[in-house]
Amino acid sequence: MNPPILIEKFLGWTLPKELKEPILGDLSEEFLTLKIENPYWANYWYTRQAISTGLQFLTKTKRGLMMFVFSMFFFFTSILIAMIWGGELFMFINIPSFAIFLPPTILFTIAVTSKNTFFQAFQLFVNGTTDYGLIQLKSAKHLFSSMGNIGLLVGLVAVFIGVITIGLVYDEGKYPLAKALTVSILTLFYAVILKVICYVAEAKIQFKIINLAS
Amino acid sequence: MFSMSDKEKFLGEFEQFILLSILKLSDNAYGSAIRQLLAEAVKRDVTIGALYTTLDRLEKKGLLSSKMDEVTPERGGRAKKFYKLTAQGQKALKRSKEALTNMWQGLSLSMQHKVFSK
Repeated sequence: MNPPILIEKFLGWTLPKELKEPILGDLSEEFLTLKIENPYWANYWYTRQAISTGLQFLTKTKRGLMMFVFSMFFFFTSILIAMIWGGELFMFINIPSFAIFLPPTILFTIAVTSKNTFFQAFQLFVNGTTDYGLIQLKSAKHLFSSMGNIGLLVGLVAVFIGVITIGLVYDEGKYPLAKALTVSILTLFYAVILKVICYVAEAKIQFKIINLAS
Repeated sequence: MFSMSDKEKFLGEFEQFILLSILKLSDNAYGSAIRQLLAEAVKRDVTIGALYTTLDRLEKKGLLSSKMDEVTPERGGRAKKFYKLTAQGQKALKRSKEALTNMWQGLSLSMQHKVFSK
């Protein structure tokens, strides 16, 4: 029986690089000793130590990420409240709009950067930006900048498609304007939200680049 | 007037316990051993995180020095970090002991002393 793997991973994620090895090693050593007497107690002991230690270091090593998560939570809560006040929440959820804008945006972003850069940028964001070099930070910044802009342009293309569709069906005398308009505007709406998120991520990385350079 | 620089400030109780544990453990002063000694000697069950936060702070103050050991299999292939008191650490510990001894002089906690009661 080994220490609980998810708990161990959580602790490893929160610890600063220089303390990762001694702390995980010490806990592992004590866990193995306790396990001989009572495996369940050993598991409980490890979980309690790891969570308490992890939470203690979380505010130190992941402060930037926590602030980002909090600001995103605040942003999305405000949007949700506005949506609910504006009518119904489901009015703003449209699968075709997602399908029109998200896959092309991701594919274009990978095409202009690389698959590695794509995953590394998100990893860098989740793990904090302290252990990365200038080139990696600049690549991540470029990725978020590209993704935000590409998403916005794809959203605009969707608006044009919607407007053209409206024009065509209007000429044919069918007048089902609302559906085409909704899909196109919602696509642009999602694209703008993605642009906001990418802009914040980009600005955060730029701040780290400035700190690193100074 | 007598004043102390930041580095000369007295140690907290937990800091003293840790420095004394390191002295007692001598060449075997690493996280787990210090934690177990504290639990046995002063009945204080500290989390490994609280211990390392204090060790890190004491090291930054220059009271401790550390070095990483070789990797051992019983720790999941992870190395131990051994701590040692610096000359500055020993001086700080001595100063804290002297201060406490001075404050205790002429005092005893017997029932003859005045105590606040309702």
